[in-house]
Amino acid sequence: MAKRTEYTSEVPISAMIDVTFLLLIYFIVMQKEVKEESYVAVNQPALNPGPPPPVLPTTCDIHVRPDAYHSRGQAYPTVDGLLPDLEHFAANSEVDPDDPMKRRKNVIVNLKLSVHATQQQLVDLLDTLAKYDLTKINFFYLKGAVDAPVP
Amino acid sequence: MKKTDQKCETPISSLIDIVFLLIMFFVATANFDSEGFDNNVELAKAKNLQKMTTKPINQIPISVDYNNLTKGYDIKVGGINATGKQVETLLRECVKRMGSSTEAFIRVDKRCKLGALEEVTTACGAAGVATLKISAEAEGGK
Repeated sequence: MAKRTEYTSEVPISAMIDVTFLLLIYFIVMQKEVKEESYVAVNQPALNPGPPPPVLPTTCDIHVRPDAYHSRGQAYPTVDGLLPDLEHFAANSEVDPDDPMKRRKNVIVNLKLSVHATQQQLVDLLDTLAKYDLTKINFFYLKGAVDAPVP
Repeated sequence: MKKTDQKCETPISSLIDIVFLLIMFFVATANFDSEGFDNNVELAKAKNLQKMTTKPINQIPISVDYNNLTKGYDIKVGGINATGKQVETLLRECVKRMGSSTEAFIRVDKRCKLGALEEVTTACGAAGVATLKISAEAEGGK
């Protein structure tokens, strides 16, 4: 009887390991931190506004310009300067209990935005307004001559 | 003296198991630009704004990425690059498809000028988007 030959069989995994490591490195490099987002809803000026409300709201006008925030004739380089004004507005109004977003009743903030100001400035202001529940906000954009620096 | 024939092998079977587990983890948690949300946009941070818990179905994400090479910014409507009148056209299509309660979720890079936001909000107004939401990166708070 012939002598039985011994064979060893092996799966060639070396190439697979190379590819697997490449995949692993790719996913590690491409991994990004998931950032939670927040938002504020704003209104735009309507082309055909409806009838005025029975009780006229108090309006607070804030200009956002590249150099500063302007409110009631005063310029503030940071939003912190607006805090006394915002506190005043918040103190003179109640939170609307029927509003799901718990916004202040009868206080509307008109933001007059220079197109040269930055998004960072706007978000800083929106964040400060949200702190006082002043989130009934209208957006207006200043253009051309209107966008000139406030004297 | 007789030489012993000893085979020396690195035990790689457990290593492969771990590597595959790691790959599965990274594939599962990979953060692709899903549903038109452009992850390259660097949002300004805010503490007090309403946090976004779920992504509503009738929402159009509009990303404005900072670009100092061209006019200062690039606009993407639902993940599609758009310029000028195309923004309004794409938004009109979205409003037609999603209905009158369509919301625009505007994600502007913190370095962009507000001229970019003005272009987007004007296009939203012209296309009949009902609600505008300005997005920021949530940082603790509410």
